[in-house]
Amino acid sequence: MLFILTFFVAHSSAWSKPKEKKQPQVDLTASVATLTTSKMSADHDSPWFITPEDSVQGLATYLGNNLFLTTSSLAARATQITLKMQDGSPKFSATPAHIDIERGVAILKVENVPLSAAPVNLDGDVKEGTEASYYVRKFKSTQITRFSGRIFDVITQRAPGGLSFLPFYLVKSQSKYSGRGEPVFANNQLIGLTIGLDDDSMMVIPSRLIKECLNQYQRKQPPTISRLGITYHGLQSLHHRNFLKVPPSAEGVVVDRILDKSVPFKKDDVLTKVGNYSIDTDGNIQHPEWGSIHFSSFVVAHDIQEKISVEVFRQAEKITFETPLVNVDPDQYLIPSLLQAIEVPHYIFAGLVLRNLDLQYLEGFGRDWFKRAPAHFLKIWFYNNDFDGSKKRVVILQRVLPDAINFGFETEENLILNKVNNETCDNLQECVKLIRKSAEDKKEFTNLKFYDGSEFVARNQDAASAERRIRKLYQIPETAE
Amino acid sequence: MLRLKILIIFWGWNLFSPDFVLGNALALRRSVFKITTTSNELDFKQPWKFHKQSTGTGTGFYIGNKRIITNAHVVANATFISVQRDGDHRSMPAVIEFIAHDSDLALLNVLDDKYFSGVAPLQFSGIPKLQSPVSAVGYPTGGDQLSVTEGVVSRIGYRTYVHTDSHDHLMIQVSSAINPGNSGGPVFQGRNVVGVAFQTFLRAQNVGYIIPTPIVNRFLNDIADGKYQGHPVLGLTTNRGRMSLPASTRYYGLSGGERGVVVSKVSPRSGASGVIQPGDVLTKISGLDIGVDGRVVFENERVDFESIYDLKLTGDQVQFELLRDRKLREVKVPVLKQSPPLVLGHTYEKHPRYVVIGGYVFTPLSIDYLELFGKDWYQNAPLPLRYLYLNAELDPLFSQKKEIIIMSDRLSHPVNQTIDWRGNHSVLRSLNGQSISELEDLKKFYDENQQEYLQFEFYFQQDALILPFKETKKADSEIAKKYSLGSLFWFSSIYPRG
Repeated sequence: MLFILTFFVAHSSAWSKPKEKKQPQVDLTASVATLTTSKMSADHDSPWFITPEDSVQGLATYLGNNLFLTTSSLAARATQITLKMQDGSPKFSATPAHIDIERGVAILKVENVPLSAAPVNLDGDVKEGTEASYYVRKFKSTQITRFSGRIFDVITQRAPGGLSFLPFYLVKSQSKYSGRGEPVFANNQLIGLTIGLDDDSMMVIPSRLIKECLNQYQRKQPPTISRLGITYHGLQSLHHRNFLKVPPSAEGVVVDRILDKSVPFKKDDVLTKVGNYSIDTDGNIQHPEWGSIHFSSFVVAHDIQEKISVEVFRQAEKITFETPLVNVDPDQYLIPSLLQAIEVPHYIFAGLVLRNLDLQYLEGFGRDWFKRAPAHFLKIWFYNNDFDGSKKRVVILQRVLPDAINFGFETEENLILNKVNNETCDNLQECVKLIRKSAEDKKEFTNLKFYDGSEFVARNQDAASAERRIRKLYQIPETAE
Repeated sequence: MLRLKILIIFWGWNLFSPDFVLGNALALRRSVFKITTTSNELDFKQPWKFHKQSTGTGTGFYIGNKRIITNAHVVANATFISVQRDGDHRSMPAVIEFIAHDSDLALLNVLDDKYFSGVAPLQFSGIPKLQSPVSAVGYPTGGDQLSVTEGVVSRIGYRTYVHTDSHDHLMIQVSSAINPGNSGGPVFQGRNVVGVAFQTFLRAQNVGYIIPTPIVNRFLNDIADGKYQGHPVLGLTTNRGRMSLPASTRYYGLSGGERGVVVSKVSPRSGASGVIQPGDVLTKISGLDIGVDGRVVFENERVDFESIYDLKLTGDQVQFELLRDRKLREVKVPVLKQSPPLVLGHTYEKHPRYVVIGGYVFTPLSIDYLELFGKDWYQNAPLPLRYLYLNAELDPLFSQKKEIIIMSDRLSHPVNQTIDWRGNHSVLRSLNGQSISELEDLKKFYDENQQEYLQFEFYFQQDALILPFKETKKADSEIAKKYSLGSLFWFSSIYPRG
């Protein structure tokens, strides 16, 4: 597996030392609000529809300055968010101010509500084994309960947005209703936010990454992910070391692709250190608080404006240099995540439902979508889901709405669209432009060519009348497109 | 995925059938044989090995000239074969004279020439009509007596023969119960054989399949020169049904009615390559009109147009009428000897091709290899292999190759012990920068190597496998000895190569 070196900037303070002295436990209940959100979601099967969801419940934690912290899964696509403090005061509304899908974190803003709660403090990093407490909303209640737990592991795991790898604390949950924005405290400081539940383990995103979210919000930056801008693999064997002319005892990872021209890495550089931390052949470093953890977890803790000192072996020579970080917007991936979208961009031409391929469409193939989705889609997701800033997309024929105009083609689905009237198009917008141009130019036909060599032809004159017929038959709103 | 399962034929000799008077029935049943085999299945992970020995039974029938015809899958991988005539207490050793895995047919010879004295050869007729009655004869599992089942012809189609899982031919569906052990037996209409029973569909009742006589006759004609060349592969992918609409016929410039199919892809390994192009509309084959459904009328039935090409012999030519650039034209497609598909179907008889270098085993990707991942391999096999099975012909990175090479295993030796072995079924791209198109390339580049290190690069992964050349060369012989490898490479194939 290739790990893309990602990381998110945040703090130049590198790794802070853990608090040695245990503070007396303070009840932080007053700083935690119950949250109820009404949501809409995209219908990925029939993208012209929007699906209203049941209300979803969770928790939000007061950060001060009328800002609350919760998870992006609760805040994304919300039509209404209601908070209630534990002091008996009335419910009040909040609006999403900053939603970071990749980190799984959202900041909510409250207007014109006097809040007496004390804001929580965000702490630095804590060690595996740290005693912690967390708050969980009681089932179907606006009350919360405090539980005690322990951070039993610190791992590097795929981010909630699915596009990068981040560090997470794991805490055993004592409630099956956790995983929805529960704050986790140690020494009366907020050390993390629960963004999900995996079996009985709460996935807690560390406060360091939450702080970065806050920084980006305060700087009015969109949520971004920064990286080293390379891919790499382990230094696998003695032969490999000899081949690359590094000492037999050298440990580290081998750079195999440079994803951004601005970084000074070269192919076959052996990356042996980031900061002051030596990297082993599995890509792990010995972090002072988190123990053995993947070095990407170190990288994500740095701000995009920082540079990171690295040590590499290049052509048998050990060199040290500083490398800038590369800012990558999740939207730049070939297959993006539309977790936040209510409406799925799509276009219906002669009954052919065209759209960009996105993560949510893949997930629509079921819990084990990574096995069940079409192999030609999965191959792109796992092996070619690159980012290059070009906003290229994979345009697909999702399915066909059968009609006389597409007779003979009505059973086709999940094809990749390559060309419209023999012109290549790299995203839905471009393809739609070419389809429309075909009619505007008074061409008699529009021809769509797909990756498997199949093609679809429609007379533009017929397509216009077919559109009205199809919209009526399949009850597609005029505005949907 | 719908799967046809091999096994076959029917039993239950109906002596009261109006088509069989007692004397004729007795004469015919003397021409049917029970076939017993001992076989060793091939190992596709460690291709120089066999799996454990097993025995099986099937059916065959006498066609004259001291030959018994049966299914290839009855005798595939057999190390010993014996045949037993109905009503005879003796079994007789037999050998394979010809075997056609692509059409699941085989001819056996019995070592004793006198064994067939008094045995009448069965006669073939043509394709039976839909709904006409048929009787299938054979030795299904569960008894030693000949049995007959009756049914009717329910469909004639062009479908995959599961013995290789990679060849499509004409087949006839019949409505008879099918049991294991019947494979290779005759299916009668009256006194004539109209097909060879060979596979069934496990998900449905009363669905059995027989190999029709045009396929059998083609096999017999193919071997007339003493060697079997195999069915040709037309290698065209077509979009069917597109000509159903006036808009399409107008777009492609087809006047005078709807007909034909649009070509979407031409395999570079086929006879059609260079003659037929993507975008051509095929309107006729051998003078027969191709419908919008891709079918032609053949022996009074509508069958896929590929059936016509499929029945030709190597060296023949097949005339197509096609529309290109809105003009009708005629082209002749040569019938070439069969070349192996990019991802092999099931193979038999010969060990899978392989090369062992430094303990690493390289072998071509095949359905047999994919099936190492269990019956749900199409979900559980590694994604790159599943992707290649479905898309290799469409992907320009792979479509021009002759085969897809997989690193299937590692035989431990000090030369490779410091390398992590992840058993990841890596897809080989190149050796020291030289692209690998077939297994022979790998051996050649290895033998000719002048570099200090061997750098194996793979698709779908960035990390290369590095081996020191001199140490690896030295290790090879030690590995061959340690693991009892007869050879460090094996290039023989059931397909003609080159």
